[in-house]
Amino acid sequence: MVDFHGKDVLEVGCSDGRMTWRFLDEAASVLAFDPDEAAIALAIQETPVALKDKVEFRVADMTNIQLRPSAYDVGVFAWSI
Amino acid sequence: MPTEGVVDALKKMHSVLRPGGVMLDSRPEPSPVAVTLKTATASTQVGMLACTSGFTHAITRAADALSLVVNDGLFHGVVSVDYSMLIYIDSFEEWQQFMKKWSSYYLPLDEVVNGLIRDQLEAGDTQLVLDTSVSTTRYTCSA
Repeated sequence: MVDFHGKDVLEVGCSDGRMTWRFLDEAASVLAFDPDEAAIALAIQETPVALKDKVEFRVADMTNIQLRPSAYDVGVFAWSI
Repeated sequence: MPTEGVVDALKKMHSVLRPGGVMLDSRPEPSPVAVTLKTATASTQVGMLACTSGFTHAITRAADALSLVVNDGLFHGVVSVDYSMLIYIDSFEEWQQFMKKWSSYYLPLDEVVNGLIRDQLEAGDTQLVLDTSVSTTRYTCSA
């Protein structure tokens, strides 16, 4: 449905990164967040070393996270609305 | 989350996407989930996870909110795909964590079935497989 190649991606409700891994390799950058601290810790731990530079995992939710306007090509709600 | 909260989240998503960008909404359908124990040689369905009324209501609220932002012109070009997604669980601890995390979506299995799952997963060489129905919808961000 989406070509993630070279895209800046925002992922809402990423949990432990179960979906992030599907597009991280192709994307230019990914900001993924979830309010579940344990899940984010696991996602950070399991991020492949070669891809660490282009993904950032944060503990946050959509109501409190500060985001730059018009900064992303793809926004993903992953089981989160 | 109330409909207003979902609408706010969708408006925020619209504000951070570039015009012409894409929003994907992926979520489980509020339908029963087949629970199967799988070994190298056999698969046995041991139960069905039933959905809570809260899950059904949440999906309704999300659908209402999405309709609102599309009608307001924030997004257009809606395309949906429904598919089956298998979730693999390797330990009883992981199964317990899954049920805790999604307790507002799925009702617990009865104790007998849960005991069978515990025994099989703790014996090793067995996976629990959840067959979920998932819907993913693509929306194009309007200028």
